Amino acid sequence: MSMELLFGMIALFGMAAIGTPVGYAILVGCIVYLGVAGQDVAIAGTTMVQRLFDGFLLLAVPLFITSANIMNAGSISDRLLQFCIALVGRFRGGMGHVNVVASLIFSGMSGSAVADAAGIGKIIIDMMVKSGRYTRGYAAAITAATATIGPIIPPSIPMVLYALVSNASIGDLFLAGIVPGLVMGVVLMGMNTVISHRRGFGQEEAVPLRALPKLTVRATPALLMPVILLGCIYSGVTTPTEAAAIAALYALIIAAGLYRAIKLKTLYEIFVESARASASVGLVIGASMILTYIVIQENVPQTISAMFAGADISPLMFILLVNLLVLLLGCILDATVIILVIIPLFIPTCRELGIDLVHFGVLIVVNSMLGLITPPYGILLFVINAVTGIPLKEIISEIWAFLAVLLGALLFMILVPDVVLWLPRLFGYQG
Amino acid sequence: MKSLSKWFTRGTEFIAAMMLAVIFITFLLGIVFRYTPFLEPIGWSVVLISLLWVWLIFFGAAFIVRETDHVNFDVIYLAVPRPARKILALLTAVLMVVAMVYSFPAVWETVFANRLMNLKKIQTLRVPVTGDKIAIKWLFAPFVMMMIVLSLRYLWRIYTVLKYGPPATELEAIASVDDAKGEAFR
Repeated sequence: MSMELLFGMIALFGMAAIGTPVGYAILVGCIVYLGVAGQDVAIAGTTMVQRLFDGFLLLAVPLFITSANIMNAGSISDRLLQFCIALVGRFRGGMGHVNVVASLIFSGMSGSAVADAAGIGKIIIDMMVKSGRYTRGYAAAITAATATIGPIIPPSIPMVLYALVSNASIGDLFLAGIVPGLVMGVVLMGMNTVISHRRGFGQEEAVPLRALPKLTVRATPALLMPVILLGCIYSGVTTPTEAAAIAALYALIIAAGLYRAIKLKTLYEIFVESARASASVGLVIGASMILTYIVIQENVPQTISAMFAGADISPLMFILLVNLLVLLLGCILDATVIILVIIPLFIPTCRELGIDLVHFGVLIVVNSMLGLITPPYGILLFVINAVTGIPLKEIISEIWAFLAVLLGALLFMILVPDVVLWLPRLFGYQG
Repeated sequence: MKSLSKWFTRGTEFIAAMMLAVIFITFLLGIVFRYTPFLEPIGWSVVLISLLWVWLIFFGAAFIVRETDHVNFDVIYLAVPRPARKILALLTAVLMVVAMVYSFPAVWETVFANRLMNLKKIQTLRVPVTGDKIAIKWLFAPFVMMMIVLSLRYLWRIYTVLKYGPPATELEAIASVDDAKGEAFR
């Protein structure tokens, strides 16, 4: 490691550790690197601007943020909840199942785990706690666990970021996420069933089956979002980025037009909040791109690749090792940072070992979502704690069982790549 | 003074929201123009969108992203007692001011003294419809603006932290913001 890289990293991690916004910490780290190396310090800024300007795919990020905010603002959540309750509320641990199914459906609209947890998650937690059948820690924990499905099922912001660093096709990544997302839903419902039986959680009153068709019809427009998104991408009618704009438009049409749930003032607030969130995410993305520039200049990915090539490691072993690393980093780092900064280091090695980049990408995204609920630094736990006031200690003591089955699901996806790749192959993915 | 800063916040929020709205609408226009018979596809949409995206990020970071909105790693910050937090908040602010001021002359010179020519291929920017050329410095200008505003913001922070102690933590802020937002959003 060169002297300038060492100083740069000390500045970056030192500042990030004391709580400086990550985007600024990376920017300062890069300025220090360039300064010590005797290069033009302006390169940090110009690289950041230029890469953001060139990275057209990134425009999907603000559009997905906007459509998530539109979806969460309207009364769409109520309609979907009624549908979910009618569908799975009749079983033991019913509200837990409702929670999982609602997350599966909501994830098809928002693509942001934090938005899911803060929006529909809060509503379900209130319902679960009010019913008196669940402890508040359990309600919060299952909500956090199910929210991780959000970015696995398209649309997905982390997948857009991964597509950017790996050059994998965004359409294939979106398709590849669907089955793994369903698998995660199934294992969470399984765990919920086990726990509900063991602790004897009561049953909800079943909604009569004849009400189901009507509730389904009412929920259908919202259920169609992923279909429309993927349809636009796969038919070639729009580029993936344009499809994100269509998704936002569709969200707006069903929220404002069909469900009449949004007023003009709310819409303005949605755009302000979305602009704020986009700027803050965009800053981290841009800063990560300068870091990538420096890391490539220092030949770090090639060094890592050569190291693994020398160690004569099998692709499976490599995937397991990287996943272990991401899991550990996920306890302390943000998913955005992991995908944009850490993962590019391993992409050349993946190519070398013949690992499928779509499979790898889905594993990494699933894994970094688990990081959102792993103590001590799990942003979803914090968000739920902040919006509901349920103490972190109670949430964390209930989260382990769900974390364990999700880890099992991840291992399953690692060992059986077909779970991930079956659907994209069906649509012509060569890999 | 108080109402002045309130209006300033509202104004900057409005500008950022409009940038996002224009990005959104331009995307849709691009699709519409491509598929409507008798309409030529518009070439400027991609450039306009990219330009606004860069502006949105740096203008947003400068004016509307609050300290608590940033992605940050606050395990250590939250774990230490308040006096130590004060030192960490001061350290962040001082280092930020130093880094911005240190790199400012080079950035300014690069952007406004025509050193951008050394950069590899950047698309020519043009005004939509009329097609007039836009100087490339206006793509980079928001970054310069962000550097200036950040220096001032962190200088102000040094002053407030010294005077009133460290600001409310992120979770305290989320909780109170969410209460307020919950009203508006539901």
